[in-house]
Amino acid sequence: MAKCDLSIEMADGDRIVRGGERVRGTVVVRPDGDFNCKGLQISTRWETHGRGNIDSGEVDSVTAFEGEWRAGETYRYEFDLASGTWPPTYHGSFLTVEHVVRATAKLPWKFDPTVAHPFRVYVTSAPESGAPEVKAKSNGPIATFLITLFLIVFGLVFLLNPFFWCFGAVVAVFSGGWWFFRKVLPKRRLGPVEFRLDTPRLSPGETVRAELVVKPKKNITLNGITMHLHAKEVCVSGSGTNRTTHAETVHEERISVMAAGELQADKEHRFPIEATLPMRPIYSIDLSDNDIEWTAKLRIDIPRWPDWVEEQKIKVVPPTQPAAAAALLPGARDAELGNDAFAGLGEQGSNPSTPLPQDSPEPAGVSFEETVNLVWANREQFEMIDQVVEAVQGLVMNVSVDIERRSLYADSDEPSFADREGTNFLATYPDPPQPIMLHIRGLSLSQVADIERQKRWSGPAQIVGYDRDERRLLVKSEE
Amino acid sequence: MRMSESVELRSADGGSLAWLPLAHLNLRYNPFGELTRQQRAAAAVVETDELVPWIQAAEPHAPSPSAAEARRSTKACSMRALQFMGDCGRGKTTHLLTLQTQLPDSAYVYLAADAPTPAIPVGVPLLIDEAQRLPWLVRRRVLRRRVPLILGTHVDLAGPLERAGYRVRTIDVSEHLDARRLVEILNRRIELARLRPGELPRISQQDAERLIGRFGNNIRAIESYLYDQLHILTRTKHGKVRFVD
Repeated sequence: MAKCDLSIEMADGDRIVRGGERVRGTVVVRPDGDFNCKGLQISTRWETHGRGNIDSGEVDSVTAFEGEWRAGETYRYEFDLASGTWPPTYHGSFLTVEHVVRATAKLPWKFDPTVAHPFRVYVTSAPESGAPEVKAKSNGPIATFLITLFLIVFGLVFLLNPFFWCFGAVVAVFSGGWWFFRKVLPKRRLGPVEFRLDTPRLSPGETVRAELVVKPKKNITLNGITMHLHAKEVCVSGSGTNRTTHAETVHEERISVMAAGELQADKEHRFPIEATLPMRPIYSIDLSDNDIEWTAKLRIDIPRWPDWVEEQKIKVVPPTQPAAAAALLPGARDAELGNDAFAGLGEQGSNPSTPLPQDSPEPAGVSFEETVNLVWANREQFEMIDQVVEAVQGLVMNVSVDIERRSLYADSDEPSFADREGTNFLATYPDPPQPIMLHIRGLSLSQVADIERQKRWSGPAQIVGYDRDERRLLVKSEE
Repeated sequence: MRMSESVELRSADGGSLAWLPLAHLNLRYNPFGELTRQQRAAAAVVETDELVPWIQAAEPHAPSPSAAEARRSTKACSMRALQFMGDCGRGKTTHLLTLQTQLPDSAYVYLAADAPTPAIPVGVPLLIDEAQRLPWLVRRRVLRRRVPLILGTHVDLAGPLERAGYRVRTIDVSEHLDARRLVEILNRRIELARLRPGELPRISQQDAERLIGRFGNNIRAIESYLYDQLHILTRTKHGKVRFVD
């Protein structure tokens, strides 16, 4: 059977594209038989892959050709189409968002040959809702009217039917019980509690700031207060009775706000809370069947009493600086970034396309700053990071980092970080903001407190590894 | 049967695309995730050679003007109905979507559990997925159309169909899964996610036998397991592909 081969050549190779930018290239058609093409459709679109039902949206399209194709000829059709502005390219566990150029030849009485070429899209702003500019699926006005009518009729039947009153009473008893145990009882012990999120909208690498205010009426002993920073992919597959929701945690961090202790009565206790978001492009996304949700959940653990729990949503949006947004994309180092990617970057930007030198780095004379710059520039290329880390191992460097807080980090693959003789600190290099796990041996309790208070540490240390999951450089110091 | 060597979504040669998480396996995305209807039809392994002529053997009749004529007509004609039965995840929808691609005048409708009954389209034959959800009145109207039917259903609808004058053929989709067929199903899905020309990881006959041993004929559970197995390989970026532990 005669075939019609399609292929796509991108004019700018593997370039990372800013959302809304034009994408140019050529669709090449090589038929090995005569075909009457009813339309060569070329489009830009985004689509999801993974555990959830596929969400997709067409962004721009053009019919490049209609007519006859002759066997053995090669036909070339140039295209110049707009790319999507939301959602950006994302590769997670249960969810992938991909932007593609797709070409489809409509051939009568045959399968329509289709070819798609993926390209990366970064964006510097997010829609308020987290949903794309065009929802993948939406009800028409008639369907919306019918659903509304159905709900009204259902509501009336509910209100007029005594059987449903009984049903409603049962629901009310259970809901009331839940509310009493989860809300009323904890407040009887704690008094008024306010959990305020000061930064409900922020970008990767930025700090979540919140405050908890508690004013108990009596002295109260607590097992502790923790905030749980959580990002998860939520994907829905199937529909109706086959509908299944898949959730996968993509970032999780537990911040200890207060260790076990006592809160005094009639005193306003204020707890400022800070946590840094990971430098990963995990943005809040809301599609029809595929979402990414960020939450901050605060728990006040009251001994032998229901805990006080409150959860607030956080909206994580792309950085407004193009270079920072583009550099977070997978394999950004390899790509030629868009022309305006570095516009307005100013002095704070590291060049995300800094290539790894062809020769292995020479350990002698290599500074910590140079090493961090190399790791940062290649942060999606784990093999290259491994090479860099291997090359500088054993080399003592002058290290200076910003301290975030202490960490147990007990599940590290690096055995020395689980060493009880030492203390682990979550830290960040100032510029570029490379996350670091710093392990210092031989600190006294007062020295640990000093480091936490000063929020900065400098001293001789060695790079001993790289945590791919946390994307942290593992640094060890023997004070 | 021939399916979709030309329907597959391939990446072009231009650009290395090494940034894709499964590029090292020559895959554009994890092939064991959800698919669109078109992709499911393209990846399906369904023997339609015999089914298509069987369902096309009867011609549609015009609606009968009176009840008496309808009864006479029912006896005279032999409308055909094909029903695919089986539990969730066994391939009923895939069968229907594949047959739809083979029948140019057909129409397909899916009856969702949590939505109002959609308008039943006009097509010959008419394919109705989750047909057990057809409300009685709508079912009566559908049967009065007197067109060949292809149904995916959890409930045996042979009784009402035969009473309406249909000659019914029932296929239990869960009976048809053996290792050879599973190999073909899974490798087609892998082929659909192909990134560029060249080698692809393949499910072997031995893998398929072990999967059937573990999950039975539940293809959805098998795909879910393989999704996780392949996802692990996005992190390692190296090593031999081993689908089944």
